[in-house]
Amino acid sequence: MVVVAALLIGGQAAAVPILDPAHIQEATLDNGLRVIVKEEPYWPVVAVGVVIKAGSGYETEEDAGVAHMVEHLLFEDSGDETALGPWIEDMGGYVNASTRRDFTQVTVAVASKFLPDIMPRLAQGVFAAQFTEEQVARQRQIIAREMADQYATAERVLEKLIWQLAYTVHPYKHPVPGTRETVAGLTSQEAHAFYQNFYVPSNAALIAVGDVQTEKFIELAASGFGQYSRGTAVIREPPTEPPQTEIRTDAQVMGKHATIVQFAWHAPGIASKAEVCAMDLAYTILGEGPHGWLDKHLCQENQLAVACGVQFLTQREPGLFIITVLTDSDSELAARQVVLEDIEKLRAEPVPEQTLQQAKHRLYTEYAFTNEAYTDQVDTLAFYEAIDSYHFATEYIERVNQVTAADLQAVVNKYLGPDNYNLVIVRPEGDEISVQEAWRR
Amino acid sequence: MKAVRHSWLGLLLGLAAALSCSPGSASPLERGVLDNRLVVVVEQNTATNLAGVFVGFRVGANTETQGRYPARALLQEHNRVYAQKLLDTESHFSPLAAEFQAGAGIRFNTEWDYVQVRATCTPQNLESLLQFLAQVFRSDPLSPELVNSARQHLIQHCSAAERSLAERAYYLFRQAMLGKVPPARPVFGNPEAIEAISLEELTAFRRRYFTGANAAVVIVSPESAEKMGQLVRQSFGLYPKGLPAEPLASDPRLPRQSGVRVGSNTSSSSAIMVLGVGLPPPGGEGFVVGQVLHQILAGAQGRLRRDRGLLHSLALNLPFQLLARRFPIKAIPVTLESNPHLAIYAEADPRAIESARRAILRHVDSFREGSIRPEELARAKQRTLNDMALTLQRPSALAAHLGKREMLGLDCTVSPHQAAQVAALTSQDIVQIAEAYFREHYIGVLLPD
Repeated sequence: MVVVAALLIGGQAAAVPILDPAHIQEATLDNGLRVIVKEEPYWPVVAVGVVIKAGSGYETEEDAGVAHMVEHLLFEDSGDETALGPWIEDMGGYVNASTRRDFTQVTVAVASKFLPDIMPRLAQGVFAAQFTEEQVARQRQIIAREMADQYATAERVLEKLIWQLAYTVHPYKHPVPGTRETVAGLTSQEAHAFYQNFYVPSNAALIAVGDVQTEKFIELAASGFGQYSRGTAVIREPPTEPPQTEIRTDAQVMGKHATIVQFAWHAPGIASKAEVCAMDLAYTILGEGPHGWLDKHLCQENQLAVACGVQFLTQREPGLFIITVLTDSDSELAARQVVLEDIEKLRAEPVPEQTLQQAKHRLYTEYAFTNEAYTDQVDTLAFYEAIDSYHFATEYIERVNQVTAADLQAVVNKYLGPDNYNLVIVRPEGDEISVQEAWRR
Repeated sequence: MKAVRHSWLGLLLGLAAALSCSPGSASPLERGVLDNRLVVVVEQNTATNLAGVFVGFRVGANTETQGRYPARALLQEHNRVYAQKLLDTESHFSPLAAEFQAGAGIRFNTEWDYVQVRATCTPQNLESLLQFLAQVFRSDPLSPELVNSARQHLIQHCSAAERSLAERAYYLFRQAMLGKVPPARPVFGNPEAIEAISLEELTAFRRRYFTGANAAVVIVSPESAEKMGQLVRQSFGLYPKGLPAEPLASDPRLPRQSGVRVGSNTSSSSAIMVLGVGLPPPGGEGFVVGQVLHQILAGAQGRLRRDRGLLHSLALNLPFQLLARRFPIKAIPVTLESNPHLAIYAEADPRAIESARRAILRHVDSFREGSIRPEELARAKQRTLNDMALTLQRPSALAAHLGKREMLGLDCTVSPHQAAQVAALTSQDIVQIAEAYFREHYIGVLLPD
């Protein structure tokens, strides 16, 4: 039984709403697979994404990296004709797969006339994959090489350190690809077990955007994906991360030139939607390009840093609000002070209305660009469907517009405290003693 | 064709306006001409809340005669520098600057046949973007400081291009194919030529060519066609009419004999080669043949990858892992230009350059012999159609494609028309075009010193 439900039209922030809910319909197949379709007949392309609620956040200490390993296995070029990725690429289509903390996603796009060709292959590739011990062994090597390349860059080392520092019990502390040790120990049985448990229709969603009629797409979905049994993913609720009440620090010596400083505070998860929107405005005010406070105070006025940036990715569970500063040994302490002063300024008083409005417009623009192509729109809908519901994607701008300066101040005070952050510094080789000195100070 | 209706441009401007429609798309594409002969093409797209804008001037390499080379590239670099200055200093462009920083971006390009700028913005800033672009192209007199700054940037760019072996081999290939005509020269010029152009020459060049008669503005946006047309008229309506530029070199009169241009390189022990053949001008079915043949050669299952003998002929002995990351042979995409070509890039041991040439040429020659299997043709058509559809799904990409076609004097209706041509293509059509165009081949090669 397929149920199609048209959505109500939400508020409009502009002439054409981004991800207009009036164009979106949803259904649930008999086997529990959620189907979300946004009809856009303008251009003869259709993008299709399958999102599985299975990321590194669902792993244990022992099998860290298995979600990423399974994604690799699904898309490896095994040389036979069943490999999905090479098949889509060779027909000139677009294919991308990624593993995050909360989910794994596959997105493909083709000229719409080829949609009927790809649907059964996509379904088979995701829900009926077979992998051998040899493939697992091969992927262990490939992933090990990838990790070696990635951890040669300070950026990836920082990312690994800051998440490990900020989380004590929650699986978000695992690096998405795992560690060298856990990946080396992954067996085909573990990969199979993870795949069999999570890769079931009732734990997944199918999203399409483009030149396709909803009814037709649902027919194709039922035909291609409907044959796989519902399954029931057994999901362990992750341990709750206790509140952080102290400053935690870590340091590493790496490279020859820059000093990189990274701060991270625990931040709201998707369950706190109003707070998420306020936090997005906070990162925009602090970090959005040359107009951001941090760039202005660190790079332009005081020349304490070469570059700086802010990241805040909304996640299923509370994530991190991260500030990164690229500086040098001499300016490091002063740069750290400026970051904390800018946070304190946000805590102390509401931002001026003009600042808030400019930030809202910048977020709106960024969101518009994030959703430019059909593949982009699939990614956004899949992202929110995986961690909550795609509805948030359609309401996002309206919710951002509702945030007041007082809301923003309250959220910053709640999360970005002066004594509950994590600090990681990567310093150039030769500055080992200075690292110790920096902590002492 | 559907949704044929009165062109608002025709009604609004009282001028002859062609109306065409993109079959398969929800909104008709409209084309009109302003009083100053500037062409306006607009297409309403409500799939995304962004506007893609193309502004182009039909000022090709042929205009750079009598010491003007490379005036187009230098002016474009000046425009880029001037645009940055406007964004930094003019407060009314601040919202636009913020959008560019948020990811919109703006790109200035000098092509063989024209110069263009391509930009994206939210519809709220479309008016501002058009005013901004109109001002960028209209600045007169040129500022000596900005021109000098542009000169230095362009010279740096030339130095970078000089270091790219692939780019140098490609330029040699163009020279082998086209001879000593302006479209065979690097578009960015060389340091001596860049230094030699005076401010007066540059100003005169700009006044002569950057006029309404040589310009086109294309917008793909959620706004109504009428609104887009009004905005273009407000911004670009006062441009001087001017005279059309010299026609593009659409008939390149390829050399009747195959040719080779050889250069040297000191940074690689391999020989770098580009081998190719000419193609029929864009717009006709013959050009589509080139696009499909490119796809027969390209990709993991394409002929160039599957031919292990070809790889062996290069005598490179590359390890498997390196081959997977950087295969030494690739088909260069066929692009819309007045001198189109089908070309293959290869790296080889210098001692094996002749065997490599023969091995690549076997593939080109095989097209004249009707060697394409039905499943091979079906795969290539599928790749061509997917490539066309996916490449143009963003508003700015579609605006740029429409603008490019306008610059080359081609029909603005886009994908479906070409899709029909691709679908109808037979192996006999390919043999016919290959017979007419592939008897001569051209090579640019860089050999180690």
